[in-house]
Amino acid sequence: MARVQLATLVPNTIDFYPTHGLPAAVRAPIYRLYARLLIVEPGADARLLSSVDTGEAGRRIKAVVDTGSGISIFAYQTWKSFEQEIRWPKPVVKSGSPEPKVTVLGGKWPYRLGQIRIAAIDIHRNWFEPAWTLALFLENVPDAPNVNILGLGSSFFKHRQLRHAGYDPGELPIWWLEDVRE
Amino acid sequence: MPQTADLTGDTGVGFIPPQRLAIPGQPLELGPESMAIIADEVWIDEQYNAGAFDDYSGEYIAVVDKKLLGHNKIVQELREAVSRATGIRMGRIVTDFIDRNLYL
Repeated sequence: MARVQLATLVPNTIDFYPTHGLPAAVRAPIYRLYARLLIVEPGADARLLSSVDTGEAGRRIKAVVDTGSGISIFAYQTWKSFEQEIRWPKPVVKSGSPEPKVTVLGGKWPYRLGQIRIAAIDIHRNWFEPAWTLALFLENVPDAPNVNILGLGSSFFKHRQLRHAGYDPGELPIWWLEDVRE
Repeated sequence: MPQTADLTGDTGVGFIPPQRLAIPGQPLELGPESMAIIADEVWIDEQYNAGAFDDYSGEYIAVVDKKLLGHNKIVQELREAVSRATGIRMGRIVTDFIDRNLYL
């Protein structure tokens, strides 16, 4: 069974006073799950993952797992470094159409549609085979969010499930993305 | 019988020792440098969760061997600057974007 452990980060907490009379404020951590991705050359054999650039830190990126997003999104600073490995399909738009924009984090940002071949890996050396992923590549405009999102449309979610598997010694939740057992 | 036993080594991209081919369902066999990069990634996440990088929110940080070597808003500039200053090749430098204010 193929599976990868997702990275659990705690970027924010919410502090609040409960309404039922507790004297102390409560701090609720907001967890976010990240997939560790590896940009794989378009022609590379999937079996060669051990030998193609897993050692190249610049090819390794983190992306927020967002099952509420239908498509993956990559920030400009992320994709700029591997631009030559992105396929840019011709968009089906009429001349004079407005520039396509995607709404992310409360703003609307121009993007280009593209395909990139990525594998998923984790800190235990587990991995998913590389697959072409359709994604929106945010253009370089001021204030555009610097965030990568692995959306539900990614092939990494096909026939796979997210599974909560307890907590690590630091009490962070452990989540796996793994094949569904038939 | 290992899945890679019948490979000739002619991979089209140069000879690759068969034992280094990835086998589906089994962990990757990675070299020491890749393992060091993973260790740095884990360390970054731990430090991030501990709030150690809060001062760099909105910037990239660069880490090698669990040491913070620099920060910059432009990742490519950061890689080049750290590589120039330390002699470490850019591919070994682990960078990550620090964002403490992202709600999704």
